[in-house]
Amino acid sequence: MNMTLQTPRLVMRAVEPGDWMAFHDFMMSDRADAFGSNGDLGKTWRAFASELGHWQIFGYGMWAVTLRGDNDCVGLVGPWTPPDWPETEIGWMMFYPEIEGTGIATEAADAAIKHAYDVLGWHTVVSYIAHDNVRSIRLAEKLGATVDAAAKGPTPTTLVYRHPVPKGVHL
Amino acid sequence: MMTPAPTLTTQRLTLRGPVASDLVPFTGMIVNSTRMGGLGGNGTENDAWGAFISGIGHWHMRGYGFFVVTDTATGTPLGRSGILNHVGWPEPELAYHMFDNGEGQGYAFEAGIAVRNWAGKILGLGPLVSIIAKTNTRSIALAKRLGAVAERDYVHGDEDATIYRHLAHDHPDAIAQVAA
Repeated sequence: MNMTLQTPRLVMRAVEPGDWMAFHDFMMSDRADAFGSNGDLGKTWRAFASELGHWQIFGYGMWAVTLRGDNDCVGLVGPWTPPDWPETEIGWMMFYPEIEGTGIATEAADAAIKHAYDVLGWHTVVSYIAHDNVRSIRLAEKLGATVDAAAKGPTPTTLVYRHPVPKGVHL
Repeated sequence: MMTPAPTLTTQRLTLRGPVASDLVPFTGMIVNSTRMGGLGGNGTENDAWGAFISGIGHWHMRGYGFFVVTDTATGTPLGRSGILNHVGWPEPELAYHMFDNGEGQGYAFEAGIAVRNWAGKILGLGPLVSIIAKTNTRSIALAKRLGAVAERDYVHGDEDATIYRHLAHDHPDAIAQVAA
C-alpha cells in the first residue's frame, strides 16, 4: 500500500503498525474523550488494528498524517466506512495539542475530501461529530461544512456536518 | 495480499489468510448463529465488521492471527482458527469458531491441529492456551480432544472462563494427531 497524498506541508500515507504507540497515547488521553475507545486499552488496540484492516480490505482508510520529512504520525484523517454509517464519512483525530491552530488538520482534511471525490468516487462527504466536541466542530466549520439537520447520523445525538463539493470536482 | 498469512493444508481443509469476501459468512455467524453464547452473544453487523477488519490488522501487528478455514474441495469458508493475542490477553491463544456450515464435522479439530503445529514449528510459540467460557461446552470438548488440560480459572472481560493448556507441538500425542 504505497499510496500517499501530498500537500505543501504533509505526506499522508496508509496507517502502519509503527503508528501504534502514537495512536495509543492519544486514545488513552483525555484528548480522545469523544471516541468510544477512550481510556480502554483493549478497545484501543482493536480500534488500531481496525485502522490497519480497513486499509487492507477496502484499499483505503484513514490517512496517517505526517509532517513532510518525518514519518511520525501526528493524527488520522480520512474515510471510515462501517456498515451502519448512513453516508460516506471523512473523520479526523489529531494526536497533539501543538497541532491545533497550525492549519494542519484543515490541510489534511481538504486533501482527504478531494481524494474521496476524485479517486474513491464518492458523491458526498459528511463528518459525524459528537454534539459537544467543540474542537472538531470548529474544524468542520473551517472546512466550510454545515450541519445537515435532515440527515441521519450513526446515533441520534451525533451532528452530521456535510462538506461542500471541492472546487474543480464535477459530479 | 491482505495479510502475511501463509497457507496451511490438512486432509480436507485449506487454512488461508482472510479475504474481503469472508466478511459475509463471518457476519452471518456473528449476527445469526445460535452458537454465539460462548463468545459473548450475538453481535451486530457493525460488530462483525469491526472484528473482521481488526482481525486483519492483528496479522500486521503480530505476524499471526486468525486463518479462515476453508473446504479444500470447494473453497467454501467453514470458520476461523488461529492465534489470537490482543493487548490484554494473558498470552497467545489458540482460538477457533466455526460458521454454522462448518460445525459438527471435525473441521475445528483438524484445523486446530494444523494451527498448533504451525505456531510451534514456525513461530516458536507454545504450549498455547485457549481461554474458554465455562459455559462453552463444545469448545471445552474440542480443547480436550486436542489434548489440552484445564490449568486455571480466568476472568475474561466479564466472563468466567478457564484457561486450557494445549500440548506442545512436538509432544508425541500432538505429532500423532498431525499424522492421523
